Amino acid sequence: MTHTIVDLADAFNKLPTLLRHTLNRDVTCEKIAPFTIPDAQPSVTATYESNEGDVLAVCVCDLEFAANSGGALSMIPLGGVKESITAKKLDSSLADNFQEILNIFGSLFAAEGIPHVKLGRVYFSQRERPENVAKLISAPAARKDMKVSTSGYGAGRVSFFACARELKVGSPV
Amino acid sequence: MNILIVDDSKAMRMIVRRTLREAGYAGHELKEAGNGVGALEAIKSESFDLILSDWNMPEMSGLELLQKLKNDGTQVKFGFVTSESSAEMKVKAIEEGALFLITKPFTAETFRSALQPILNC
Repeated sequence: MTHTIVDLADAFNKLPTLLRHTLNRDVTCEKIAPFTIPDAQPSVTATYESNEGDVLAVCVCDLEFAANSGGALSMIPLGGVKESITAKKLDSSLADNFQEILNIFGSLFAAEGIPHVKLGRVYFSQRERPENVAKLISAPAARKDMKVSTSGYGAGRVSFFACARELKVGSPV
Repeated sequence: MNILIVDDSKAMRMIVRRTLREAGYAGHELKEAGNGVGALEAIKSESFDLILSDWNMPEMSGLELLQKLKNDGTQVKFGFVTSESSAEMKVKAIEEGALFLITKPFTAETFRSALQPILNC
């Protein structure tokens, strides 16, 4: 068994409640099989780092999850959210909102006895991801995948990846 | 009362406003700033009874803002509204003079519990 610094199972258990409270609406979460988003498709990647800049975990989600949850955060009309999904690009309001959601996700990893974990970098395209982040995603010590349906908006997918305890990944440059 | 909401996320400032309303504090004057620097500018031009500030922000963090206010001798009640939730950060916040630390995500009840002793209502 490979040990990780962050507890992905604990983070995943906390995710539905965190999303319900953050979005102030009903959210349904369902565990799904690992999925891969092709390079050409839009996605959002966020790193979660220690104070020293080591990447301890990564979150990857599809455009639908980012747009629907970003829209729900400040009740952006559904039409605008759907337009962004059709255009395959988050508009600036949805991107700002989703970045705040990713910031709040940092609290999922808080636990006694592990380093302080906070949101590091956010990449709105897979091509922007540095090599060390891409490597962690392709060979994580642990991963969890979930389908999230946001009431009044729609469904999307999110994955979390953790690095092994002995293989801390340095900060992206 | 005059309350200053400091957060680099426009959506979060709106959510703090909404939650204050839901918690029963609709009658207070609410102003906004996007980071610590913006907050200091706002404080120059008017006085505030309470500052609700995020921790991690560009240019000047919430902690740096709190330290600057303390060093300048500015008397204002200060609380954090942040995704930071570790015991270490809570201790740091209180040591520096914050009255409370509300962790995101929060509810109206969380706000009531933190603000009731301060706003006396």
